[in-house]
Amino acid sequence: MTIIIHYWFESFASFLPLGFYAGIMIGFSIFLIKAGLEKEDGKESIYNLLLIAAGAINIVSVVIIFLFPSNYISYSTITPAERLIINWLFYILPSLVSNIPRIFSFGVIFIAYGYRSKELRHKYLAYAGLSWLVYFILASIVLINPVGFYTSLSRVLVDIHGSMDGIYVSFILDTIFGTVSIFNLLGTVFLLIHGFLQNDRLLKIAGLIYFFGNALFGLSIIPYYLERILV
Amino acid sequence: MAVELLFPFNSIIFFIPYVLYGGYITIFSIFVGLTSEDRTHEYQKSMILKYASIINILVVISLLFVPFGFRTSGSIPSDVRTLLYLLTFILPSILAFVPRIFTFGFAFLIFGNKNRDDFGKYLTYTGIFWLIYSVWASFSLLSPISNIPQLAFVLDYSFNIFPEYELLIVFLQLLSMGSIFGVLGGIALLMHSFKHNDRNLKIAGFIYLVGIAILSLGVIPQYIDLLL
Repeated sequence: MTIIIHYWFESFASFLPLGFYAGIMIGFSIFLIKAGLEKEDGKESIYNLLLIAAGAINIVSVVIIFLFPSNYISYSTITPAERLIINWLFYILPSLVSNIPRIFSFGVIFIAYGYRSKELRHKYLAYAGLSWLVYFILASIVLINPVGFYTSLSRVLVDIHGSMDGIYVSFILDTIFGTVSIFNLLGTVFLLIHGFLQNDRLLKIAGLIYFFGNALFGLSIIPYYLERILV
Repeated sequence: MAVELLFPFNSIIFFIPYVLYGGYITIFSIFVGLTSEDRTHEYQKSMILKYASIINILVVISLLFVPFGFRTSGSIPSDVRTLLYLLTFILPSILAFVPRIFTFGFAFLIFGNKNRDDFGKYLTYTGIFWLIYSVWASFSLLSPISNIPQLAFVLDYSFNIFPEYELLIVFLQLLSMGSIFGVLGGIALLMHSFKHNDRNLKIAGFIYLVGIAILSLGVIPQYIDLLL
């Protein structure tokens, strides 16, 4: 049995998707931290610390992904034990490591920050937090991969079942599981609504980085395909 | 040799995605059209949205009678096959998106400009974004039932310009970027509706965004068909 494991740093093309994704998350998090460092009415507040914590959690959770391998190639039949290790190493752990912390850094913290003052008439940030809470809980269950946004649960299930028609079953499950991303979009929309309507400059920029970063992520895999043609 | 054209009304594979697309566009259009009955906001030229909504619903009905695919028994000449592919790629896209240049793009652009002084710029932004989106969708032959820009396949079938499938994927990725404008239009509409507490446009905006997101579920019958 020969399995060759690849890492993110082996070539520019394989590094770019994670590098791009990390750039989005770090950029987004820096603006969260900056928003947290701004004092409301000259006072420090526990809620500002929450935003700083959210930014820090996001940065740590994305940097950890670089420690995981990016891909593998097998030149022989893989035993069930090896399959189990591969599933955990490539699909389950990276998804959980990136999604579970965000239940707090996107979900719980934005809900708390959105409800920070009784005087606030609009609770858009709380709605953003609620949408992201639902999204990251579901993303943890269906194992949405941080790089590529595909759902790993379908691969793991098909792998365990070992069906000949696995590819179509995987497509069907991917399509069904993929609909959870609507909650990610709703969270982003509410953050942008808050940023624009409340004229909150820092969270507006954070929302725009997150929105355009996710929307343009597909471009980062282009060098990977071009490299495949050239090799 | 026999060729069977597959319409949404005679093929379950296309009926379910058609219902998803038609459903969300129809409900969206109803709520946009209701804006003309809105007396609390005193919009100017709101009838333009009513006419746009009626055209949207008529287009959805007409899509029922457009072939989205075909089946053949026996061998058919390759040029006939190519022609059928082109017909089923081009016709649904053109019929779905060319009218939207007017019913989504220009309608909201004019409506937004007329109400700019009283209601700000977000409706105008909606019109601009949807105008760009509709022009792009018509040009890239976006499939109304799967959100895939089919220009890549049409070019490949007609001129075989993608000798490597990786090039086809790269072209698809680049072409897909235009869909951002559709989402931006929806977000700008929601910003307007939240700012001015417009219930109808708020519901329309949410239906539009959720509709795009769940459209992908329409391909499941095709996978099940392949599976069986």
